[in-house]
Amino acid sequence: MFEYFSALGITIAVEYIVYLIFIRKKPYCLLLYSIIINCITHPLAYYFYSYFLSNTLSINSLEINNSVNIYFIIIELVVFLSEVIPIKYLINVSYKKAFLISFTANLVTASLSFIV
Amino acid sequence: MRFKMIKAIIFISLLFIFSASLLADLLPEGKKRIDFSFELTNINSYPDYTFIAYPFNNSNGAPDIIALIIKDGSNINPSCKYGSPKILAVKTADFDKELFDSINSINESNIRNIKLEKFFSSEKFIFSKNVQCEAYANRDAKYYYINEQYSIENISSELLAIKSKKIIYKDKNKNIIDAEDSKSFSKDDVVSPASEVSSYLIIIIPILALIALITVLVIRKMKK
Repeated sequence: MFEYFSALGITIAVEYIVYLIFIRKKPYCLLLYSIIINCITHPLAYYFYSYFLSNTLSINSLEINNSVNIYFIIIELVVFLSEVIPIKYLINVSYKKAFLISFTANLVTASLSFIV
Repeated sequence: MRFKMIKAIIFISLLFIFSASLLADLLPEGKKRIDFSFELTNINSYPDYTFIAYPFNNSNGAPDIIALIIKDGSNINPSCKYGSPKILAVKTADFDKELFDSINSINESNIRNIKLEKFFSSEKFIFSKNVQCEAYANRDAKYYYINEQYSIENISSELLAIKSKKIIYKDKNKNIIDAEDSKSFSKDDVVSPASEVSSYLIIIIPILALIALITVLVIRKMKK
């Protein structure tokens, strides 16, 4: 529980910083948008990640890491694409910029997940 | 006005997100933290079976769930912070110890958790009711340690019946100050609040966030 909410909190904070770097105005609105967007995608990503992992039990433990990486990449891709639309409409930017913001934000959070 | 509203929404959202984790660390009013342990006293009477404590939280900080093989007379000392363990019985011949050890040694706790859950979902495992884990006592209670002794009463294909035989209370220096015989079966299942809330929140958070997103867009459109 604590672990999950820490991860959600860190994701919101990091994506907020990325939004702020790209937009550089309305910081409180951007924080609200980061909370909203991540509260939609993060729990669902967590659920599907858990679901896929639970189906890999028969796999030898040495191969677990490969499956983890594949599911992780698939889920991160889906999350990145699904965040484009809310970013476009909430932050009011072009699709191109929303795509770039979403890609950067998710690239940073995904990279951080290997460290934290 | 709009600025204040946004600040209020952000504050409430953050409060909502972090309240559950903050609450987990608070000591209830008038209570003190105690150390709880339990043991199974008659494992040797069931030589064909392996007994396991699960979910066993290994940490007083963030939950770190493992499964623990119970040996005869060994004292099991779970952190009761995130719920109580169950005792599982499995015929030793059906128990894949190699797979069990490999799952138990996965470093990433989330993955280990999911794997263990799946591992124990097999019909080979017979579950007991939860051990009633005591994390707190009244602040004026003289004891700081509780040791509960369980005995295995019966193993059927569906239920492992365990019975609480004795509860031993110890003071700060681990001297026994009281011991009482227990006549009841282990108390009813206590579902860990953490697991119950987390599955509930995984559905409710996206719904609330989606409502918030639609609200923001509608308000914005109305203002135009």
